[in-house]
Amino acid sequence: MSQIQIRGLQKSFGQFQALKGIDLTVEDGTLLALLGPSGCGKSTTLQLLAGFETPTAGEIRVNDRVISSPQGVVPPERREISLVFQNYAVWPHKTVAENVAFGLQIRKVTRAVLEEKLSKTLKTVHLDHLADRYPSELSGGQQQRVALARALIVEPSILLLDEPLSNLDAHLREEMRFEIRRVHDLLGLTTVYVTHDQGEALVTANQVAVMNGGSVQQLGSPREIFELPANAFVAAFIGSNNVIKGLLTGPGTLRFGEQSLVGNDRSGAALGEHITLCIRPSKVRIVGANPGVTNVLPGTVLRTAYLGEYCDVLVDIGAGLSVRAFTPPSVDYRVGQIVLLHLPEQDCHLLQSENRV
Amino acid sequence: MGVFAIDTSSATVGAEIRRHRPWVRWTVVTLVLAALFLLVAQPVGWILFNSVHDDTTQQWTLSNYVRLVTAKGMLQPIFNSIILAFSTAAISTLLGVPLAWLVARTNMPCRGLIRMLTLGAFVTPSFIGALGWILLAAPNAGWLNTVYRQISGGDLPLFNIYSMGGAIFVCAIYTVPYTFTLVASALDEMAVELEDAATTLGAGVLRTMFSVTIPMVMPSVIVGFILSFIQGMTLFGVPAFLLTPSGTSVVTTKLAEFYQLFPPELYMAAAYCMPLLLLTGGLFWVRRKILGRRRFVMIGGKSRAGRTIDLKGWRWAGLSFALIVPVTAVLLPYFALIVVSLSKAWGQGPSLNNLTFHWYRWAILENAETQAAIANSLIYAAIGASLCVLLGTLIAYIVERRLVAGTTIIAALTNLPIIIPGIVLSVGFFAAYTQPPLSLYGTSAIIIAAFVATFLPIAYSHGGAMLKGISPDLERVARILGASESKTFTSITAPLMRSGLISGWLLVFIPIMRELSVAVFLITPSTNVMTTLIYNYKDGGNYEAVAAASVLLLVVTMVVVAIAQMLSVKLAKHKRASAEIGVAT
Amino acid sequence: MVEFTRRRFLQASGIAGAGLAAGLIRPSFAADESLYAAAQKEGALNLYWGSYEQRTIEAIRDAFTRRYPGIKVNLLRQASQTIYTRLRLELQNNAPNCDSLGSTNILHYLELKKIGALMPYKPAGIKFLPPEFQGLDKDDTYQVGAISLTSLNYQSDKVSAAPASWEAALDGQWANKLTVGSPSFSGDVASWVVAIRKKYGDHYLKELAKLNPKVGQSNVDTVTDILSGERLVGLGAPFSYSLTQRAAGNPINVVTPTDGTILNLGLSAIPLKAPHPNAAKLFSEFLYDTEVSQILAANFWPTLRTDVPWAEGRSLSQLTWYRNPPEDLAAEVAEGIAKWKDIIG
Repeated sequence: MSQIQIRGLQKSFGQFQALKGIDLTVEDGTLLALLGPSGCGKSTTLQLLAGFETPTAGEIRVNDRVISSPQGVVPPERREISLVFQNYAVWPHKTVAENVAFGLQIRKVTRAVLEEKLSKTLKTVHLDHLADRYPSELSGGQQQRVALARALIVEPSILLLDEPLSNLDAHLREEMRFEIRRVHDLLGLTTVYVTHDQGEALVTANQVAVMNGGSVQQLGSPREIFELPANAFVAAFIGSNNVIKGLLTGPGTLRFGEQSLVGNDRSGAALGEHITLCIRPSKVRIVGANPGVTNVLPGTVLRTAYLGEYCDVLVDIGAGLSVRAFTPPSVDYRVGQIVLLHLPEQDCHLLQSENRV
Repeated sequence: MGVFAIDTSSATVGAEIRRHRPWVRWTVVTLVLAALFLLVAQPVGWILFNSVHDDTTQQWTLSNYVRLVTAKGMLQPIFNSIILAFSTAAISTLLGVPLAWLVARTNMPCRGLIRMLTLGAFVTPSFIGALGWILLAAPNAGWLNTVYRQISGGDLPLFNIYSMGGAIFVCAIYTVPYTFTLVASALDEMAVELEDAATTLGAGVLRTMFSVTIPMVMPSVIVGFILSFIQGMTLFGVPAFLLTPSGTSVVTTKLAEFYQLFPPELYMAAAYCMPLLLLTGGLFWVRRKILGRRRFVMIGGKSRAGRTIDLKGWRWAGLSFALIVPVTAVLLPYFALIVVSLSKAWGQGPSLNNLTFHWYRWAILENAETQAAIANSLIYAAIGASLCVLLGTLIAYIVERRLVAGTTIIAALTNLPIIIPGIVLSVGFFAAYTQPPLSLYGTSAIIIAAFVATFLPIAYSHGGAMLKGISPDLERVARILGASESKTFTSITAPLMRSGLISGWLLVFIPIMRELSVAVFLITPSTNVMTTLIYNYKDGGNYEAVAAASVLLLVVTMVVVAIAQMLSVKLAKHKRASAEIGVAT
Repeated sequence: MVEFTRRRFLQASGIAGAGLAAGLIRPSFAADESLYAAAQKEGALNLYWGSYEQRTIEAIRDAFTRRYPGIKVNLLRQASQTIYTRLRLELQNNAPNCDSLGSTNILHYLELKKIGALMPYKPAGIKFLPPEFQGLDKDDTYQVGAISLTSLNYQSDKVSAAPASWEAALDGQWANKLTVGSPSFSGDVASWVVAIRKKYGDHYLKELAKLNPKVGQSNVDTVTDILSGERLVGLGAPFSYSLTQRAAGNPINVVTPTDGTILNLGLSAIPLKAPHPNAAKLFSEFLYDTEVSQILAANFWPTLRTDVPWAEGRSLSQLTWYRNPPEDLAAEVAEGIAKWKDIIG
């Protein structure tokens, strides 16, 4: 049972406030992804979880035991938390086996037990045949697996991963995403996974916390985040997104330029305030004349790209705005062609641009 | 949205947080800071204290400082020193930077030989180099001038070593090893792709060197310049031998005058070195301003080491340039010294029946003092270098990893000794450690301590450079796997620094071997070292002994260096993982 | 019983001597077994000597060690000024280490005597000194330890007719050929400058400046310059050391000038707080031993005994010599140095 509770966590470095107040609960066995752009505070959160930094305010509890607070932190070596670093941090002066065995040596485990766990773990990450190599002789993916094995062998109650895949090439990254998910499910560890890659977050995580500017923008399952983004930032960060800014002129009505669109108002804004309409390109349809629905915008095709599975069409809808649509690949659109775009009402979300904390 | 009611019953800090106090860390930090206080703060404190006292009455006074700015002949040496130091630094940089590039980056022939000879220049005390150059370039009797006169048929000499130009020349060639070493190691670390980018855009070899390579190593160039400037300010032997005949004083010779006066004006001397301190302190500040904010991040990836630039037809021109320092700093002066050392009576001039090995036999086998001095030099240098590297590395660790508050002050204090002339530091140590409770006068301990203090800045800066190349993540991983701070240091940090520690050790060992002014007042006959012995011989006019002892000093030091370097090669087995973010400052 | 009493007496006199400043007690021991025994117990002797060059003082030290085994002699041979500065540092910091001070500058001794830092002691052997050098100090806090002659030297291969006097050295033919030490650095050169100024006034220095002499530090530098051939004639030069180099086969020789060889007395004293006072006294006695004077003669130094002749048949009576009177010497030296700096640089 390892439940993490983060309450009102703040961290400042001098004048710069990296975390402005985070509240999260990670239930036992969950894999939570902290997703966001550089500088959003996700790595800082991880550093605080690991015990390398002291909070400026707020606290972190594990199973209701306070482990970090402004008064002090339980030191990293006593937290039973493992961390896999972005640049692997595999020790160059030790072999693969020595790297992985380190944690057990610290715990003064008997030789027989060590040997047994070592070979089991190396097999789990498919590194048993490389046990005596030095890191300089390994590829990036292999080094990453060493780091993972090293973290897992000590059977931590919580696993932290700091952008573990960002230094790998695309193909390997895809493969490793599933690998991490598999290992997580196998061991049932409470895991916090930091990444800037939304694909990784969606594939591996049970829960995703989208962060920006030091605060959590939205916490939810991957499906929730994608389909019901809480604000325009989240909508834009996950998947592709169209953004139309305008004014809230009526219930669920956004006015931009001379035109209006209707959608789900989840902005909580008052009439007359600036809000944003977001809709996924995959939901935008190009329709024929007189479709008989609301939210139809005329536009001119600016650019098309054929991607095999769909066509990516960019359409100018006036007032300096453009909308992307993913259309069936069978239809060819020409640049300059006048088309009609249909933005289905149930897929239009009226949102604030960002959470302010 | 993750909105939870914030639990206002705010954290009662768990008892276990309170239990975890880092005892080992605090003990080590305390010991290190105590050492720093004893080695630097105390002696320097005494110097400051002395500077505001009167030599005759022992009372508090500012008269020393007043005299500094008003009396005749006080300010001129300071200007002369600045001229000497600046020119030394400029020439040292102009010679050292291209030399480093040629050796580290190109396919110039004989690179290994050039490296070794430049090391020979580093090992040589500059005052011995000056003596060798006096033999070569004194206006009337200098051998080079004699040859020149024979060739040209005239009366005038080609060189006059007894001039500011001569002093600058000698100071510069023995300071080149600083700029050379700093820039060469920066070049060794540099990622090759950065130059590739330039060459693919059409830049030729020289263009690439000037617009990519050198700017990338600019931090090392600047540090080298500053170090050379400081050398030029604090050298004593060279200006003493070469500038005194023309009556030109510099700060260090003026200080010696205060010590030689009757009665000696030790407190005035303490005050007199304050402008020096301010000036070089200012330099450090300037350096921080220039380099402080900029980070020269070379994102890793697979940096291929060892790709050289093909000089093609320019190889031999490059070699000729590269030979300037080895020839002038090592080959020529040692040639002169060896000839003198093999003479029965050097005034007779070199001739077949004036040859003898007598002086070497005397020095090595017969003269107990030379034997003792060689042993002392080696022992003090070895112990001093080891302690200095240990302390410097620990301080660097404390500062780099910010283990305590106030790291700026610690760093400043650690760097302080480099700007204090050796002779003044030696008097500071005298004052600090000849009275009870710590009466160390006449022991080897006080000399070793003074050496450690003098070269602490070098060990610290080297330690810092090593640590900057070790990602803190490597240590954090160990911590999170359960290792305490001290276990992490011993099993992760220290092994990774191993080969760097050896080069750091040499970087301190060699200057200790060749250090003169710090030792002058602290040695007693039983603790004599080679440099003070040679200086005594010179004072006594026994040039044959001077020459033989100088050659011995060179040989002995080079043997130790060779052993250390073989050890270093053996230990540097595992190159660091390539994907490392290197930060150069 | 007798031994016990003698030792007690030695201790007592040592303690008493430490308590008094102006030397009411003048202990006078012959260099007999008891002094040696006491010195042997101390086991060491720290000599701070700058009056003789390395080889001579080492020979004296070795002779002492052979004669009195069991006493380790630590010899610090540095320039007189450096030695004095070190001694001052030791005194200021209450870290006495020096047992015997041998400096060429009488001002050092006058100053030390004034602050009560010297131990009065009259060795038996001073009666062998030339009479005019006995009893320099009525309180016997310092004695003659060396007779240092300052003369001219020259390159014997290249100079056929060296100047016969100080005045003759000012001749125009010696332009750019002269070498000299510095009075701010060397006690011997300082006493030469004082003597020359007394005789010829500042005029001498002005004329000398016109000849562009090479100015070094110690008077030994004149020998170096002549041996290297850099300059041909040395002023204020070390008589004894030049002759030593000549004997070694170097092309150098001396001229004892007709207008006065400058004689400077190197002195010898025992600091009051010397850590090994008996060894120091033993050494002071030994200084006037025949063997030491023979060593001196062999190294071309004037001997400290009238019954031991100098090398090559020279003697004090042959020379026209001049010694600066010690009164007002401090002021004259300071003035000399100042004028030197002004005129010569």
